[in-house]
Amino acid sequence: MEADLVARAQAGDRLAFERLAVASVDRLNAVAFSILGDVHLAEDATQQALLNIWRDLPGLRDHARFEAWSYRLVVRACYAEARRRPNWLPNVMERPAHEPLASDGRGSVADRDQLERGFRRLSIEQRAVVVLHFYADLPLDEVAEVLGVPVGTTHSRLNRAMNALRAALAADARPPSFEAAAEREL
Amino acid sequence: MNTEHETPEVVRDWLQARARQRPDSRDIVDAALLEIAGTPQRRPGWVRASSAANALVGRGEAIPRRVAWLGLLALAVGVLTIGYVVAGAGRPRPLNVIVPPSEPSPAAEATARPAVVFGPTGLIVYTKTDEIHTLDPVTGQDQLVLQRPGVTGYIVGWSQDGKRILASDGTASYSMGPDGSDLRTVPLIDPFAWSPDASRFAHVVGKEVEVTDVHDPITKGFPLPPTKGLGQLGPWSPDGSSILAIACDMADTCSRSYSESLWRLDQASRTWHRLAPNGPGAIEAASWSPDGTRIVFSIRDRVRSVIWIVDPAGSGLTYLTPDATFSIGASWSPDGRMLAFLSNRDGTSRAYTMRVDGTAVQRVTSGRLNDFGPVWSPDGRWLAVVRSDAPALDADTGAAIWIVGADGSGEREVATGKGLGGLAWQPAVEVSAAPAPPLP
Repeated sequence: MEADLVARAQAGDRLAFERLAVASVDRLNAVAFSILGDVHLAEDATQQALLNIWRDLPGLRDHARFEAWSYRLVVRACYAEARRRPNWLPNVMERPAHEPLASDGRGSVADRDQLERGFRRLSIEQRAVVVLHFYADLPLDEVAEVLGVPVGTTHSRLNRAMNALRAALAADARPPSFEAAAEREL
Repeated sequence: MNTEHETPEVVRDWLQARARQRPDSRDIVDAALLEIAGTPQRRPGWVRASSAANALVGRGEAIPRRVAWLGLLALAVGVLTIGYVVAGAGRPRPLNVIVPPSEPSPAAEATARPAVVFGPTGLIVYTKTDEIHTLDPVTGQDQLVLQRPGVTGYIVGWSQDGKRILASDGTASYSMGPDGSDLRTVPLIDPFAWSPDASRFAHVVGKEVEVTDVHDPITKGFPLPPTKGLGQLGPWSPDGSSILAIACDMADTCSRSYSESLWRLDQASRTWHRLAPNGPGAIEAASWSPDGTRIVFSIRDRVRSVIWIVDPAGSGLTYLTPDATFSIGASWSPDGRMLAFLSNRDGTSRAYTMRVDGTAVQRVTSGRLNDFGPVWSPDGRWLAVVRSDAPALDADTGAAIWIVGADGSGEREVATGKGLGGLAWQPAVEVSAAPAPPLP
């Protein structure tokens, strides 16, 4: 079904593209939000990715690769958003007061806070690897293909990112530092 | 928790729970559909060739399509190879070198080159992923002046006197000499802005805008503008008396809130003046005229970006680019008479110039590639742009820095590589009377 929509959109069928976009937007926006950690930036990146998908779709040879290819475009759009405002601070959407934290039996609220802080400190490229691998469930060789980098680079980015996140979780047990205090000030 | 073994699962669960907090995505599709209404699809050569072959061979013909395809392909390869050899263009090219639409011979290039050359102090500072470089466009000399591993991009500029490079990444702001010497690092407390002479910086601390002198521990505090949030500080006015700020009334934290206002802090009177009311979009790229009498900025929403101009008192607010396209990044010519900006009005991001009243719009760059920038040379006769075939610049994108005469002539590539980002041309500084060397 998706391949059929891709083929029709590739030929310039805007209705087919709209259906394709509706079917893909949530997946792409989730990846963008996971990487950027900001609702507005993620929406911009997703919108730009959809525009680029429309424009570059005729160049996609293998319709079955649409999903991976679209991930590539949304990650590139995320890079561009982050670069456009390099000094951006993630505006993590405030959780509605009535909405409880999702309880999955793993990780405490403190863990999540530490993960959020640790994740913010990762480079945008490291975040992309983490999100594509752990959220989008892509194997690392496919992540490398999506990002257009060697598999070894993907491995090293993931290792560094995971080490940083482990360190962030481990910091949970340590007393608050000056840095943490300064962060609270902000 | 056993973080060593459980971290991947914890990260996976955390990412999924976090992603569930997003609002509905449907309006993104609506906005994208609006935008693609005027966007043609880009058909690569092989697609066009395929269409041509299909048209030529036709379905149901006696000749098998695949055989015809191969024949056409062989013919095309043969013709291209012969042309390539005959034209003597078979020399290898390094990767990521952006090929101009037509490459003139060196002799013709020398003839076409404008007679006026760059001043001897006109360095271009540019960013390359985690590096900041300076480039002498006359000699081609390139110098790495700062590298911060892990950084994915900087905002760069020059102090008003051209004697210091100013930069910031997500974690710190930097001030340094043109060769990277005398590096001063200020832990970044966003929003943040260097003064024009790099002797002071402004940043937000608690409920105040603090202005700190880098030489003495002197700090002055100013109230925040009467808004709910402050998104960006700066730039300072050329005389250092005022500081611009982008604020928002929709949320405590401004970030693409699409409802931002532009403010000016007059330090002497400690008062804020609203220059542009909350509009329908995000305010970007605010910039003072060299004499400090006008300010340009752009207001961007999901489907357009329009350049506006206003005076520091808040009067005379008017738009300069009224069309429904993206026009951004307005940059003042050194004499304050012209603005260079980017626009995608013909489908590709290209550099344009116009008078400060919005008239005499002239396209400066052309070709199939996207331009980013542009910035003026200190003598106002050249523009520098970053050029790429990608719609946006990122760490993995090949790009090049090109210099083009302000009238569109004498275009040439001066640097190339992956991860090129922002750039700024050193303002004119006092120089010796030695004649400028010719452009190579």
